[in-house]
Amino acid sequence: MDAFELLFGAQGWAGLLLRGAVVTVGLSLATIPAGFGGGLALALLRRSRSALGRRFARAYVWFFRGIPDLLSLFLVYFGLQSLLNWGGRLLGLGWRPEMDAFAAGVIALSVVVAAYSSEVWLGAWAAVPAGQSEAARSLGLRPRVVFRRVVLPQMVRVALPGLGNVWMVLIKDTSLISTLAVMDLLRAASEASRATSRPILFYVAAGVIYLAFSVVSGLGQAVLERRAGRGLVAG
Amino acid sequence: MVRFGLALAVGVLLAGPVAAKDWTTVRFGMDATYPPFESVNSSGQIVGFEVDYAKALCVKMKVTCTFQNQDWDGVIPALLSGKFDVIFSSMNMTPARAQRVLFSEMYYATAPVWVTSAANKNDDVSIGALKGKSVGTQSSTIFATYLDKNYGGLDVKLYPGGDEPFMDLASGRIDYSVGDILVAQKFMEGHAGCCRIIKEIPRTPDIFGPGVGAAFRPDDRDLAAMFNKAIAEADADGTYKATAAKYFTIDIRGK
Repeated sequence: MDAFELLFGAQGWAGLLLRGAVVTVGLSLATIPAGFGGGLALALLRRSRSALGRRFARAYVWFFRGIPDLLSLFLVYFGLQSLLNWGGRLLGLGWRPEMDAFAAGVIALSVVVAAYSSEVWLGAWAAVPAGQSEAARSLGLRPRVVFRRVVLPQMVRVALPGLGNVWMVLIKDTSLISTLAVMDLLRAASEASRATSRPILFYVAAGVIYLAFSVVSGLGQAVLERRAGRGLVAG
Repeated sequence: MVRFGLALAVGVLLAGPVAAKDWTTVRFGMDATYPPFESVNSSGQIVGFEVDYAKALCVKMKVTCTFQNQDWDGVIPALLSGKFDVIFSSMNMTPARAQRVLFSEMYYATAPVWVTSAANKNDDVSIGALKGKSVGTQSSTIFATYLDKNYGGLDVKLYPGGDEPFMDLASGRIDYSVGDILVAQKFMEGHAGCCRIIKEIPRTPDIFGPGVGAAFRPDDRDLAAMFNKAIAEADADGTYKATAAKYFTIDIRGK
């Protein structure tokens, strides 16, 4: 069978690859809120007055940046489920709370992305001149408002390129979920190559789709960066 | 009256957590790298003999069934941590596995075989003859245990998927493989002229167990009993024979 037939024929695998691509994008997008938000929270903790909070954030980042992302995934997938089962038994629930592989993937990736992005947030925070918050405080704004209205918007501008990097890593890390039997892009490609014994064809096809994601991400990032840089005078 | 109430309360307390769960949905876990028993088709669904047979059992048990793909290495941990309720994936009931899971009655038994490339005319698979050769098989399987126990010191490559050793045999990356006869034959259908079966390996019970069964969490005795009843019914009314005939020309039922 020729490549076209294998991809787009009646028994072709293009449909499965595309559905896998949708899962990959879905996983990545679903990871953003808790991933980037969690990173910001960690950065806040790292610079908080609480010694315990600082220590926790430091240990968290150290741990999850230090172990392979695949291992974090396994810890969440197997560990969290056992924890849920144990909790369910403890509470005497008749049913077993369940966590499907997609949800486990989102949680595990969020955990990892939070660790990575907290570094980006910290760096961005340091890049905002201290005079900015001092000036805001001297206007009588409360610390919370100073952070939210003055510091954070400027942080976002500096953080965007770094967060873009983390995002690219995230898109590729979703392929780790394929080990949990979620039918993501990589899993779809490996199923197709397994069934047809044509690994190169399908892995190249998957690679092309991943690259397309990176092109689109680059465009999206450029738009966001332009937006965040509004009103900023060059130099 | 008070005493009766107390007894009732204690009874409920004792019965509560251990009361049989009402099984309306049963979630099957499979390693879908094992055609013709289970594999993924181009729609992303798991298909194969064990899927069809499982569906037939579900009709008899009057339960809804769902099927999940799970890599073989993690299939027992996934069962025990509650990802699904039963492993229905050509799992041979070895004594070692029986310590961790609860098995149903056997529902099929096939022969393990030695396979090599078609070009290799050597039929000798004694440890001496295999010196310097590479042998591949799926990890965490009866085949891996067999090689480990009988061929210590041999260069054994372990693969996560059930069909991967045969793929590497076909591409010449390994010289020999040990696997299931029907999986080997299915692979050779799609790769004519790639390989040949050298010989069957006797099923010694300590390594291979009596055959393939469904695996449950040790607590789910009620579920295992439901399966055993359904397996017996499917034998009696010809459902098993009809399902197997769609996939195999030989009798795989075993006894």
